[in-house]
Amino acid sequence: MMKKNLLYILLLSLAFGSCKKDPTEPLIGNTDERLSATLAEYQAQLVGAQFGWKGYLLTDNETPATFLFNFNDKNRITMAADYRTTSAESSYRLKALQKPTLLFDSYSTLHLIADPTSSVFGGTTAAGYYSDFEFAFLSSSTDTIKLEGTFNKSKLILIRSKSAAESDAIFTVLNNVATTASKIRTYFKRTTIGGIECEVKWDPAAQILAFSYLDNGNLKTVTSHYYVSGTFVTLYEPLVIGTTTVKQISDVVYDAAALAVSGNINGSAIQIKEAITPLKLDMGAAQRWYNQMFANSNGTWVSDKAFHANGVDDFCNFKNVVGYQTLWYAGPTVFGGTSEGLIAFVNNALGAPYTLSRNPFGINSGIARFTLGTNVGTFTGTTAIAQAMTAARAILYGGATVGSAQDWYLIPTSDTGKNYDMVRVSDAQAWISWRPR
Amino acid sequence: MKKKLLLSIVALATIFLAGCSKKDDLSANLVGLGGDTWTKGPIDEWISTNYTTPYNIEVKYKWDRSELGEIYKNVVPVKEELVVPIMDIIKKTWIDPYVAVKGANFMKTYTQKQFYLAGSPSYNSNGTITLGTAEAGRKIVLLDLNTFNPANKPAVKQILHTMHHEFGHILNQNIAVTPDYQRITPSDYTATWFNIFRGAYSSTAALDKILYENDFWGKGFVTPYSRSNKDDDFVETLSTLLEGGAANFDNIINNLFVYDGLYIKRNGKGVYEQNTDARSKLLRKKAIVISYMKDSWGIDLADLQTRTQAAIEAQSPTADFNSLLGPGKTYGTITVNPQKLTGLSAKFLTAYNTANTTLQAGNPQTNKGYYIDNISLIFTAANKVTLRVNFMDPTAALGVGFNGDFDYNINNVNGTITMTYANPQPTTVTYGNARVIETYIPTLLAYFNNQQFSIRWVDDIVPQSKSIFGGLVKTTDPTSYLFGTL
Repeated sequence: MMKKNLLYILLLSLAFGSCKKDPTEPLIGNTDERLSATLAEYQAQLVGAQFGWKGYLLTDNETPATFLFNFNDKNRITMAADYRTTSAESSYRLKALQKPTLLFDSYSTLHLIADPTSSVFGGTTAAGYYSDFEFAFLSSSTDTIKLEGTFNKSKLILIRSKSAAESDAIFTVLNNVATTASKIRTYFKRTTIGGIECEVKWDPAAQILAFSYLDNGNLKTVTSHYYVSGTFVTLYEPLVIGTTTVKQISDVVYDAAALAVSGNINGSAIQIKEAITPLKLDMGAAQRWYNQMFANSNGTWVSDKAFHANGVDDFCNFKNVVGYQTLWYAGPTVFGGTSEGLIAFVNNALGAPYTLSRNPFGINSGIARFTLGTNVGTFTGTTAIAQAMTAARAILYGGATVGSAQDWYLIPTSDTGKNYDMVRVSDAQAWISWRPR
Repeated sequence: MKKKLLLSIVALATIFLAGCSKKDDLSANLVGLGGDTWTKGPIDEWISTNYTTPYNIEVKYKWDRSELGEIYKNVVPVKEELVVPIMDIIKKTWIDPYVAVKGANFMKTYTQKQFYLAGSPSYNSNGTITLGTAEAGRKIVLLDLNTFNPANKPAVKQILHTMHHEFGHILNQNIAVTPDYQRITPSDYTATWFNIFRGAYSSTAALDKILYENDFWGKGFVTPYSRSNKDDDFVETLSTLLEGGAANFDNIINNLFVYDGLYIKRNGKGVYEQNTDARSKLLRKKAIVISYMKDSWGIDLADLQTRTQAAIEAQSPTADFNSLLGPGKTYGTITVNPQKLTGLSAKFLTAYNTANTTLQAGNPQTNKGYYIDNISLIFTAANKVTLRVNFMDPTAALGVGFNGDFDYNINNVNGTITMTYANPQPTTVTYGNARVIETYIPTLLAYFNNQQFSIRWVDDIVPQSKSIFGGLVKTTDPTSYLFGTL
């Protein structure tokens, strides 16, 4: 009986309780209404930029691109890009997908690098440059909007342009920074960040900055792509060096008196200076480089751009040689016996003049020494190949006479051990990049 | 006790029911309902006038990844400026012919309700590309549209092929084709149909072409894709008939022979061995498609085909043949092989066959029973046409053949030429060969010598044959003509 009463009580309470309506309204309002309000806000923000938005895109295969976007309230947009500076109109809209999303919803300049047909604008078949045209909002402030591609996870940063002049200069400032970077004549560059001495690698073409520093005697390297807004070089990924977090280098200019690039990190002035030695030499690199040559296809190293020297790319003017493909440093597979030397690959053939180095190859304290053994063919005369090879010989061996010798650092540039930069020891103002054939 | 329990239950039930009688407010305003919105422009108006209002078809051209069958592919949107030209041509060459044959209500009922347009193809992991998909008669996705150019007829035809292919699926999904269709080539359907492509068979281009074509046409399939499965086979046959036209289909069949390596098998008189198996398979498939359209839908396929072809020609016109033929132009040679053609005039065939018979019966010592394999008219020099008689030695290996060349002087006035035998003839090898056979083929030479011809398309003689056959018709006798492949 007791049990039955209990049951009734339970049922009764259930009966009353179940019918209780919750009259409370959600404190933060209706989700859909909030979402659509957010979209409207974003749209108003985009449309509201009088001089447009500067767009900095880093695709998933790390191709950087710079844009100028002008949104209007009719779902139309005009845009220009560093790779196509002619302004063109297309459409956009904001849509609530999993997050508030900005869709560039008709074909535009932005879509060129996402086009999976590689004949349209390059890239790889089926993927282009792994770029996006649907971007989810990650964060926004009045002047900065951060977005992420919903498909390929490209990064897109929008920065409000403050003046017509700023918009006009958007593509030239990138070149300005590249020019500034190239004014440092040496391969090695040093700076001090938060009291830590860093070696700087700066690739303006790929828009990459890398800092290496000694951490308990080991070389530690942090790398990020960057974009340029005015004289601000901003990193896509903040880099941590010691206790300093580097997000941006501001006021980047070349200081001719100091032979250095000056800038500002987190309010502290820095200088990126010339250096003629690596921060830490990889002592085994020269020997590994030499050994790898024999393992490479054709037993050779090849270089596409030949020597950079004294601030000039392709210092030897191989570009004047009709049909020039690559410059080789090759071993016996090419020259026979135990010979090795420097030779140009032109019109699918190796040709004279060329040099043979003295054997055995000298490596001392991690530094390679190239000694001229034999000159083969005609180095005199005005043919482009003779002039280019004469200049290359002068750089590699430091002279034209048999017995001339020059010392070189070998700097590994890939984890596979199959790419090296070779830097002249005396002044670090000449270098060449080697890859397997 | 039982009564008390019953009472309690009734009481409880009342409380339950009464307690729950409170009504929900069902009039809530759903924010964002009604799909995507944007400020409408001229493209949207055009679509509304030409598709949405008359046929209740939505044409989506703005990017919406969820419309793609495979959302995990890199695909880009269509270029805005191409939307109207593309949809206009599709309307005129797909909807309008069907409307003309079956009426507007038929299209209102059966067309899919949505188009989705995208600019690039969808790249598949097996190396193929997807150009379009149809989803259960509801939606057609057209891809790879950014390369569209109305002047590029093959590209236009590719889009129409996709349209007619996908609409064929809709028809077939509403009324299935007889199972007899799939019994024609039951064992040759393959999931790896995409391995059928030029270059997959031989490093010798000529042999590769033969083996490639033999792998679908030679097995009774109209395209490589039709080997995929029975449904695609059916709609490929339908769409090829509509998009390619009658002459294209007949020309495929007329070129099916049995090969021995690089050469067609033949008897001692040069008579080819036909691939009768593949010919009959393709003809049976065509017959089923025709009867399916007639019996299931009441559509005269020939009528629909004629209208479709006329619409394609109107949208992407072909220049007249004379303007395309000659040195440095699109076409240089007309090849006439009566064993591969149907519809040549009796007067030409008489001249050709008499020459062939006389040549075979000629001097057994000097010309070993040579037979004519084919002739061609070569227009690659100004004011000259070379009649090239390709003849074979039946006592030698297959493929031992000779070209005998005869030059005629011509003066082309707006496509009318009079052929005058050149005197003297050149003396190089091919002209030497001509001296060997000239006494036996006077009927053939006389057919051309001092005769006036009109150089033109022969689509009045072989319907829908523009760009496939070009011909010469005697100006004094329209029943005397020849044509050939280009």
